[in-house]
Amino acid sequence: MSNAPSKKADVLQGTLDLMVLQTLDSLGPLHGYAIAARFEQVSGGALRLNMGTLYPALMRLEQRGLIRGTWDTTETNRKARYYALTATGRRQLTREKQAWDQMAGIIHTLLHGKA
Amino acid sequence: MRALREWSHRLWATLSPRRRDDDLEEELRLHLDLVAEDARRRGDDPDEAVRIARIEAGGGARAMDAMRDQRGLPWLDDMARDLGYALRTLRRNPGFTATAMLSLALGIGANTGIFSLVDQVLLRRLPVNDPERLVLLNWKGSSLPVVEMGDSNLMSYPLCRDLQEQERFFDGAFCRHPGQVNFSAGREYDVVSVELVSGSYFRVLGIRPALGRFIDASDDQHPGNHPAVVISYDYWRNRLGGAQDVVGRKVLVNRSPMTVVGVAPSGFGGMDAAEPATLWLPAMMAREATIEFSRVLNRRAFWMHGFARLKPGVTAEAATAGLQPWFKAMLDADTRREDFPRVQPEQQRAFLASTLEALPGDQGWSRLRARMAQPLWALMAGTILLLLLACLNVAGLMLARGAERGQELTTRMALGASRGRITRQLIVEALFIALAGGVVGLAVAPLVSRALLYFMPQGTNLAPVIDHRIFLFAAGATLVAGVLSGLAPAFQASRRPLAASITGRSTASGANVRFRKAIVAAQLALTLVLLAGAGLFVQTLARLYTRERGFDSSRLVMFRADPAGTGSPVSDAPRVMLALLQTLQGAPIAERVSLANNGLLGSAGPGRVLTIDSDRRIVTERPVPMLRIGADYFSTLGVKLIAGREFNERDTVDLDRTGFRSVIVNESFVRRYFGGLNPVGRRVGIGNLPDTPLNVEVVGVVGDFRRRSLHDDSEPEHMFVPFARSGAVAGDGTFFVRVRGKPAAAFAAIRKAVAEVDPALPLIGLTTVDDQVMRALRSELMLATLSTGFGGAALLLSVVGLFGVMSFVVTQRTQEIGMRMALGATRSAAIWLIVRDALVTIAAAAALGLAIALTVAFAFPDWLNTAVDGVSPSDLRTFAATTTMLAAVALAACVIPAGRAAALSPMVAIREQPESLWRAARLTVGRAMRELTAETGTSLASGTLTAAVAGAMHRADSFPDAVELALATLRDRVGARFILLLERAGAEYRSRDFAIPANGLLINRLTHYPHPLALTAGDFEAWGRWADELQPAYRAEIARLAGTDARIAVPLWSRQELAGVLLLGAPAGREAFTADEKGLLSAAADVFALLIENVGLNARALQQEKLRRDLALAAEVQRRLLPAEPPRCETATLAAFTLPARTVGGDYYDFLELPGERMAIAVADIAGKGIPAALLMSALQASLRVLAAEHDLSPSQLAARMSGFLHESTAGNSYATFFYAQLDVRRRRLQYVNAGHNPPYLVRRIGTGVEIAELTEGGTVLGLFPHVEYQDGHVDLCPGDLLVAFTDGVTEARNEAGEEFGDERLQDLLREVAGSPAETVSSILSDRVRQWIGAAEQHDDVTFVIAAVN
Repeated sequence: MSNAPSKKADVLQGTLDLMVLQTLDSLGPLHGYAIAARFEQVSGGALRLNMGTLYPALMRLEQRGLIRGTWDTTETNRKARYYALTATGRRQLTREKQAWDQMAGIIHTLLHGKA
Repeated sequence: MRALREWSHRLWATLSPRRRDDDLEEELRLHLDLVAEDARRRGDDPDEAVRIARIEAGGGARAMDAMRDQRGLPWLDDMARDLGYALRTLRRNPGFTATAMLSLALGIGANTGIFSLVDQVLLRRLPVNDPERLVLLNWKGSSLPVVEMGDSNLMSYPLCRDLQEQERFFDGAFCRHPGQVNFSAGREYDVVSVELVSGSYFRVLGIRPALGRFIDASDDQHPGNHPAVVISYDYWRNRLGGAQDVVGRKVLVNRSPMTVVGVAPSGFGGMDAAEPATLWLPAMMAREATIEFSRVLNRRAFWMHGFARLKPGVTAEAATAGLQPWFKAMLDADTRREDFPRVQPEQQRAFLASTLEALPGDQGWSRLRARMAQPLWALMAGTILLLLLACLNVAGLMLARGAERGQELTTRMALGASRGRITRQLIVEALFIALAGGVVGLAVAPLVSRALLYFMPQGTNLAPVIDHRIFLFAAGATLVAGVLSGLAPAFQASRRPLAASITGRSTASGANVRFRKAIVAAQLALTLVLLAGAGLFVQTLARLYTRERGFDSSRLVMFRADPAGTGSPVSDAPRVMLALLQTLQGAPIAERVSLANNGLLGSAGPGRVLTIDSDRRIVTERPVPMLRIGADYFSTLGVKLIAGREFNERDTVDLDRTGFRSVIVNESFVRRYFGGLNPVGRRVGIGNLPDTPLNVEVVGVVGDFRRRSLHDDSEPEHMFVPFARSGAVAGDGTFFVRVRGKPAAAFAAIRKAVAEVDPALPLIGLTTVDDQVMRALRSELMLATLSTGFGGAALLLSVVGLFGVMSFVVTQRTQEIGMRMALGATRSAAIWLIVRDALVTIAAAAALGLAIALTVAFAFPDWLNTAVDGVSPSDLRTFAATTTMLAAVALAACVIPAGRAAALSPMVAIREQPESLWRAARLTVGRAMRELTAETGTSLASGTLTAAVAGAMHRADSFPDAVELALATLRDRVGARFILLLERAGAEYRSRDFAIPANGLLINRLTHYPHPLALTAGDFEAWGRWADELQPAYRAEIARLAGTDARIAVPLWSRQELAGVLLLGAPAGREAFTADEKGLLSAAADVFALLIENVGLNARALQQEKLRRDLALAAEVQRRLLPAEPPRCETATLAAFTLPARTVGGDYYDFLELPGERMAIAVADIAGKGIPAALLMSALQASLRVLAAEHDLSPSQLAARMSGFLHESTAGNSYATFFYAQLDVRRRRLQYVNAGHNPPYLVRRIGTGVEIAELTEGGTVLGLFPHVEYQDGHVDLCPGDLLVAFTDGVTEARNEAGEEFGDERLQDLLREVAGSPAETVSSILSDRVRQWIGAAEQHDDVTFVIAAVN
């Protein structure tokens, strides 16, 4: 693909996707800004996603059929695109969570010796 | 799976208009709004928060781009755009599109149609298991057959059995014999193809029966004991209704009862795919299947084709080598057998030297393939040439259009399209044309195939089908054609030098014409090859058709009758045949009637080896073809009887019991075996055993005639024996009737006569022998017809191409032709000018074409020698004739445009010029011509001089050349030492390195005394003294004139004006010119006056026309490049104003919105005018927009990058002054760069006063040097500040008095308007400048850009 992101972004991309899926799984359908706000809230302000990263990621996930976007109105009556987890997305999330736990365990063991 | 889903999602997004950029924007806008809201809630600056969010996202446009890329498939988008563009372009030029498409359709259609047959006849493998492991076994050398039945690659059945035991190399071997039988599975008889096969046949092929079983080893036991029949799937389906109980059904083969044991699988037709078998019988049933053949187990009966399956890993070569020891031993054993013929020692040696070779057998054995391979490949090669030619044609057309589109392409490139993109665009266009051509071609292909089938033998299963293989071929041909057609134009476009176009030094048109000529030359060359081929094939056909046949085909009709085939008892057949013969003999339509067991120009029939009682007992070297004939056979056919007699009743009496008693042989037989002596009365025996009885008497000798084939002479010896009157043999035969009147009319009478004997008896293959001759020449007829057709099509295509190029050349040179004719060139001379041009192309094409044709002829001499029977492939006459014809037609194609050019009156020739100019020119020319003729009428000498001068000019290539040549001619005629032409140029009359003032002495004298002025050395001296005393101003001129040593000055008058002066040196050996010579010079003066006037006229007219077009286009470009209106901005107002001069200048301005609430203002003044300036402007705009949007560059960096880019585009030949400022609105800060532009003003109110500062920081102009550094200037802005950037057209605007507007006036004006919004300032400024200019001519564009800070 001509628009392949750099290697560094690739690494990030995996975790970003996982985070988005997890957020949608726990909070239900959200629009882009709410997702970014949630990240910021959860990370205590440490993780601020810029929209140049977030929206392409959402689009990518939608293209893979993991989430589905629909137009709706916000509580302040603004038009917004809400993203919801699909069944495929939920399965993918389960798989990636397991993989993540496994990987995190391995890395933890590597870094800190036997837990 | 995931990739697939993502891809389809992207594809959908690309194709679906629903989620377009609007959606994306809306989503991002919401995000930013929410960012602002949150900031407000937190008490932060919402604007700042949004700004940071934007910057983090890399600018709004950047995020959008990333998402757009993410969303769709960019290349698909691009491709769709290319395709759309191609479609629009093609639709705009329907004539071009249709021509190009049709020529490719012709090429692709012909190729596909012929390939369809090539594939069916030559390329398909047998539908059996692992066909590539099958080999065909061929006996190479002398096989000493006693009986031969069939064509080529023959072997005996016992040999085939031996081969099955060669297990080291083979996984089995089998043999087969093709034939025809009468077959009945019910009441009706069908004549069907049969394969007699060994029991191993189906096992080795590795196929499974659709029903029942196959013939197997158990059917190989005893001759006549295995009445098992396998029928083909198609016959079972179509004729037997697919009955499931077919196995076990009793059937009749010829008259023998047999049993169906199985059905072959669908699609299997035996070893000959072109002529598929319907039945398979065990070889043991040969006697039942082929009348008269009972020697299945004879080792010297050669009638079968042997195949074997190679063991895996064994190659055909290895098998050939490995088989030889066994084969040699077998040969040796053969010679010791009892039934081995008694032959001469050299015959035996040749026999023992034979080898057995394994040839590729994956395609089986096909008589059709053997016969048609060469003609079909030749046709295929011809059509490939034709397609190539069509591609060249389309390439030529595209190039022709490329010449017209040059400006469009250059502009697109200047606007930022890459070379790659342009190239791809042209290829896409070509591919699109090819695709349309391919679709039409595919539709036409079956028609081509059908036409070809006409030339194929009957009884094959060939069909004009388009299956997936043919479709793939057509698709491939289309792709190749598209790429080939697009390659040349794309290459041409990619070489188009952008810099040259921008700086106005375009040479593309000359290169384009050369390229097109090269393409036409290539087309003509290919045409020559095709025509030469056609010439050879036509000659071959003519030679074969007209060669001596030895029989008389006129009014001769033949047909085959087969009484046994229709169900009447076999024993009855001879009676029916005899009755038929007698009835026909009695018919009034018949002049003579006879019959034989084989027709004319058909199959050979079996041959027999003979023992001959010549001067000693000899055996024939090979079987002699034997024909059974009835009485009067030779007289019916018109074959010459040379000695002895024909057969009569006595020869057939008791024939069944005694066998043949008499034989007739032909001349070749006599030459070969009787040494040319009369053999009548000599005896021969059938067979070659030591005890063969010599019991047959030669009763007659006939002339050679072409019974089997019109082509080869390989077996000219023939023998003829009497047709049996009765008995089991001779169930069928061919009747020959020499009719009275027209043969076609006789058909009905013949049918009626046959019906009288037996109404149910069919006449098989009723035809005139003339038609049979044409059938025998089918493949030659096909080659000659189609190659002539292709040659004609090729000729048409390339002549059209040549015509196109020559028309283009003529249009280009029309002005020149007009001028030459105005100067007295004859019409034929003008035509010659163009024709000479074309002749070079044609000569190059002829040389190339002949080289290709001869290379082919010498590279494949064997192949061609067989393909063009009896005609030398390098036949010089054919080539000469073809070349002459091509040259003649090609010349005709260019004489027409040339003639058209010459037919124009000289006045109309330079049509692009304003009418009034031409009326004046016409009058001048007319007057000059009248005077010229008057002069030449009085003096013969001046007449020949004029002719000589005119002749010299016609030889010239350009006007300066023409003048040079004419001067030299004049000098030589009058014998002057030198000649000098001084032309008026402003205040001087000058030649290349000599000039005199227009208000000087000589010109003064000539003006008042309008005749040749003789000069002497004394004259110069006297003038010098006079000037010294009275007119010192003339001294320099007189000294210069004296220095030339001129002896006469001839004024050149044109319309009461002195257009020039001719200065001539003294004639050889004399000091002065005679009166006659002066008269001559006067006459010549008129020619020269006209000549130089026209040179100027031509140049001026061209210049004006070019300028007019340039201006229109440049104005259009400029109009498009300038922004329609300035963007809105809260903290500043923006305005711009431009007043274009009548001649378009190069002013440019632009407003750009930058990320972070910044604005950019740009003003530029491009050096030069017209197209070059407009193109440079577009390049500047493109680079500015790209650089400003994509990079967060400081103004100085941006200027440096742009300077580099412009330098690259123009090679330092042009430049622009440029001012660029970034306005950070919120911070009220101005950052700028000034690249050689006249300094903009920053107008600021301080208290009640107004201060004007000049913005000068920056560097030199853009584009002059490859690397330049610039400095940024910074200004902090205050509310009310006014930034005014302008071009020098403002300060240099002149009023009617010629006074400039000036800096001060501008500054005063700005002081008045300081503090007003931009719009107001703009309107006041423009009003003032307009007022100032008033009715005066405006020389340069006037442009302002104004920014006022709120």
